[in-house]
Amino acid sequence: MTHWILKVKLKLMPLLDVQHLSVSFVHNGQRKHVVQDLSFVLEPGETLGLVGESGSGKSVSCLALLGLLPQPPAKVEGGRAFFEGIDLLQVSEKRLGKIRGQSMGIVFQDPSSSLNPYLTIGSQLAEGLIAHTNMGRRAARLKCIEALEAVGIADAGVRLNEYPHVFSGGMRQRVMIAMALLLNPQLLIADEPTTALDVTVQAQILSLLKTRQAALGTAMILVTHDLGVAARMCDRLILLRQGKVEEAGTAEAIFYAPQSLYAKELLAAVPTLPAIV
Amino acid sequence: MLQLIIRRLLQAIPVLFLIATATFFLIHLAPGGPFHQERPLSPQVLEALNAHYGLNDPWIVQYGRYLNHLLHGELGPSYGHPGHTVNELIAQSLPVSIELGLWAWVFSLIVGIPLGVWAAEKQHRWFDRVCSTVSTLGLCLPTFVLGPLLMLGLAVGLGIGNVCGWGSWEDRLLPVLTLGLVHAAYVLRLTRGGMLEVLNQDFIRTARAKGLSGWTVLFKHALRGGLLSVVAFAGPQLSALVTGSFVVETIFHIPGLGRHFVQAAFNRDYTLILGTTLLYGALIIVMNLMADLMQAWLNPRLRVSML
Ligand SMILES: Nc1ncnc2c1ncn2[C@@H]1O[C@H](COP(=O)(O)OP(=O)(O)OP(=O)(O)O)[C@@H](O)[C@H]1O
Ligand SMILES: [Mg+2]
Repeated sequence: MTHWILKVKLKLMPLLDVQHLSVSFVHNGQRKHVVQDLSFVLEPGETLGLVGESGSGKSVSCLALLGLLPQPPAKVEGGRAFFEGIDLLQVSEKRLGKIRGQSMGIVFQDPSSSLNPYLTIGSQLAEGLIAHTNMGRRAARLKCIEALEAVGIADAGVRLNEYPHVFSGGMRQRVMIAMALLLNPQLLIADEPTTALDVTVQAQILSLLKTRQAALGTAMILVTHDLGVAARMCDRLILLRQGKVEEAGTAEAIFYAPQSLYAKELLAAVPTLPAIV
Repeated sequence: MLQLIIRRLLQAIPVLFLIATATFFLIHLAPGGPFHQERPLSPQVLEALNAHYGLNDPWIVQYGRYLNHLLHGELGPSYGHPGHTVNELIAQSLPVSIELGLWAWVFSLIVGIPLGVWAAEKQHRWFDRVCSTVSTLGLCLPTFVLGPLLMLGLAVGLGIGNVCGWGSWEDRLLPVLTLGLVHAAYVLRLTRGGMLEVLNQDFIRTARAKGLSGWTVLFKHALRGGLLSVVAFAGPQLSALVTGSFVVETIFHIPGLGRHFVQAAFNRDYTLILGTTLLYGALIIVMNLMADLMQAWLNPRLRVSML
């Protein structure tokens, strides 16, 4: 039923429609174009992979969409980014904050620095809920316990009162995922969510992301420089190189029949065929 | 918690003992004695005085006697203020210095912290630049320049506050400002630096990503971390302020502890030097303990390692 409604909505308007996004940085008095003419469309529930080597502008693109770039030194040179019809690049700071808090979840690269060491896990989880819904403290707490359990953290009621430093890296990333999905956002942006983690933990976190995303019907932008991971997690891929789109298409097409030399090089760097999660 | 406090206070005893010992022998090594003055006393009088205070005994005997007094809470008779004990002198002047120091301390925090937070929030904007310039100026300006300037500007020029004495609140205004402004500049810079460091951290970006208001991000997420260095500074700062600021007390004729500190050293008033030095040491120990407790309260990671 909801699926059907989603499909109708899907026909009408994509969830996110990015057109010609360009971002530059001023560094040592010089302007450097870091993202150039990035365009893509993201449908509800879909997963888009942003792939590229270090410094290719993946994080900057995401931060630009979220309005979290430090401006200055960054500057959005042009482009539009319609999220449910609202241009994220034009809307007021206040309005954007609300959209971000309510409808977008973000998981950053390094879980050890993205949680506030001075506040308990519980207060960091609950504050978004309390700010954007009319939920009271007690209800928010229950919801947080639920969310922590959903990402596989046992004894959630106790752990809410603990500080991030007693959590392991993998657990912190689980907390970040719980936090990002707490308000059932339409869009989840995961910026290299597993690079800072142990290899065994990486697989767990990726499959957790996939199951939670499927359960909630969230669309996702997954940033990674691992084409193998991208191919198994994503419907479509965008290959970025030095801020420009090198190749775009479905995951299968790029993985099995890469067109650009860059894609072939990236693929050659992937050691084995990916196992399906 | 209580255990920590008790442990730290017990650790203070050997420290104070060391301070007493080192100070005792250092001042006795210094040439001259309490009764050497520009106009020499007659040898008989000098001899009588030295005999009366036991200054002819070997150092080690004098040292033992002093420690014995100390154990009974006696800091001994003052050589420079005949008829007064060091305990009396401190009891008279310490409250004055404490009051001056506390006001200046409170002033510096109330002014320095909000301005520092705001300067960090507005980094590189005009407000920040004004704050940076003024606080640099404040740091360069010694109190013996600032004091007279304030006297001229405020008291003489605008008729606000008095230039000397320690009775009414008008008397207190200028000395507190003189002493407080310099420290406010310190606090401002520390706050700004600490806040800037925290505001650049990833978890601030996370907080922003949650769509929290600017105020919540600033005060709930950034302030704690940003104030850690201020807290570490504010403890020792208070002990320095409270043990008397000789310059300010001299400029404004305030009967505080600071003048004893300096005069005692000039006059070789052995017991008074020892008394004020010990007091300073004890205050520093207590204030540092408070600063540590405060930091632990702010920072959960410290809390674990301390207890
Ligand atoms: N604050 C900044 N100041 C100046 N240049 C910046 C800043 N942040 C990013 N850049 C530049 O923008 C470019 C793209 O950076 P970005 O962080 O998007 O790379 P990335 O693709 O996410 O790389 P990685 O895989 O290492 O995370 C880089 O060349 C980087 O030097
Ligand atoms: Mg990145």
